[in-house]
Amino acid sequence: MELHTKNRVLAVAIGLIALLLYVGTVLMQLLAGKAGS
Amino acid sequence: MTATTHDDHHDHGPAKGFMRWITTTNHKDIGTLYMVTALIMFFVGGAMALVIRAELFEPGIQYVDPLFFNQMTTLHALVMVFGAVMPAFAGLANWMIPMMIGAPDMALPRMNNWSFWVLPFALCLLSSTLFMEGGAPSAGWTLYPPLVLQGGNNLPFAVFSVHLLGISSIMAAINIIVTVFNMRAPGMTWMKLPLFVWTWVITAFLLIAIMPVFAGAVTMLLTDKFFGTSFFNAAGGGDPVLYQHLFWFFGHPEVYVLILPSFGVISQIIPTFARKPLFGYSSMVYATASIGFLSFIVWAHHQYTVGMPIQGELYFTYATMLIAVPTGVKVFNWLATMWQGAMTFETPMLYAIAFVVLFTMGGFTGLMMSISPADLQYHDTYFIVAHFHYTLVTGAVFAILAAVYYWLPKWTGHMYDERLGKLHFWLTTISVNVCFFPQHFSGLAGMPRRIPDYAVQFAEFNAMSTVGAFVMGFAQLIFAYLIIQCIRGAGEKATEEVWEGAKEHGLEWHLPSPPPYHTWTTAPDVK
Repeated sequence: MELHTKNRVLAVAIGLIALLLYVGTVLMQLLAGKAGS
Repeated sequence: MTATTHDDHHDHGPAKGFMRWITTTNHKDIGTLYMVTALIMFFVGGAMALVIRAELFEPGIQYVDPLFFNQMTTLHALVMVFGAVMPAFAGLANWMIPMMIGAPDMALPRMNNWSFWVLPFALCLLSSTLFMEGGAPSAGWTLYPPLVLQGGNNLPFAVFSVHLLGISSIMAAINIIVTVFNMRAPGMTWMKLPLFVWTWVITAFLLIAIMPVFAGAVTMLLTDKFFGTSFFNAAGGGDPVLYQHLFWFFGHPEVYVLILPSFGVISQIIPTFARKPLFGYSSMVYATASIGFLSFIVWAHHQYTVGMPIQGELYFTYATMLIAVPTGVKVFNWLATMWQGAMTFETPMLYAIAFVVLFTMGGFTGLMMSISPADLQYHDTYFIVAHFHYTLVTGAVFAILAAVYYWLPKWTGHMYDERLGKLHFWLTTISVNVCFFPQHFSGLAGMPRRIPDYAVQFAEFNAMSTVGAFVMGFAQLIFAYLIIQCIRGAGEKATEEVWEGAKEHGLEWHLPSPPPYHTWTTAPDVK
């Protein structure tokens, strides 16, 4: 794989993990019913 | 007609004029932008600290009203953490990592430009809250609900600013990880990486894991205030302590985000001025990784007074104490590196030695606080303020000062005035102790933090602290003067090696001083 492609693939993968953590933090509390009625 | 090749593209210098700094994708330019921003915010945050200390010079309300005082304590912390220390280390990473690993630039240069340029807007947004009706956030840097939800209209601005700061940090962290994973010169194996690079890689992973959690927590603050949710409101089925858990899951590793790159800097400087290789290189790497891991499993030691089961208190006490083990490994390795070395004491080395002594003091008071029954006495007092200023001022800030003195001749091609550098060191080191050491005593005697007035029994300790703070603040003008002098080319010309024998200690010392705009366009051969 070309270096530029390798760089982009790794960057996008890490970015997706960060996004998942952000969504997961809020979603976990929503699913636990903490958002209230 | 000649064909334009990839190599030709790399021959050009920087763009002319102001647009150079807006559009640059060069790691050295972006490093400079980060460092200049950090220096400006260091003075802004420092001015806020002086407002706090002026008010506390004597008992009673002197200069500012209590609400403004609380805004100053909140903004001072946020500005120093997110606006000064983190950008300073991001600047050092941008400048040094490609030069240290033999890479021509960062892996994602356009994203690098973006991750910097988000920063000034985020910081302006945060500072702009000072001029709003009701003022800036005043609930402390932790932004605890319900207090933070009871303020004026600053919350959405503060939250959006935190989101932007998080995006900036995550992009910088991604860039560092990708650069080190994919762009190392042939022969630059993992266990040959300079310690500064190692510590930054581990820091970058920490940032990726924690910034989204903090962003999530403050998003929930926003929906609680404006969209009728009750994540942190007990009346609606939520729990304010939940916010504390989320915050400190971010907040505790965050202090290691500030201190791990400091460890990296000190591990570069001490071998150079002791003229010996770093003692215990691999144990330094494993110790850094251990500290990074442990930082994720100790967060609730910030919440002992909230109340938790005894098993929880025991777990967090012992887990926190464990951090002293890898930290001790580092301190003893630095001492062993100096042992029987041919040491000289130029300004960077003076700061590095002061770091080892004073950061260790901050570490020891941290160990005291890790003991849950004892922490009930220390919690929310000036003892805590003394502890974290020993770790973050004589720790992180001293490491940044050491790093700037160490690499400034490489960056600018000119030596700073060593006499003034030493004067800056002694003034700063003495005044920082005059400022923060008495706070241990006022804290142990029960003086609460974040309070603009206090009982007369604390008057002497506070007067001393204020005198120390003002001397320290004004001493930093010497630092700014020395940087400006170096940039203007006033000092003696720096050699390629800058410090005697430095070539043994890193690839950056094999480049000219100052290095050309593009370096390592041909990868070096690392033995």
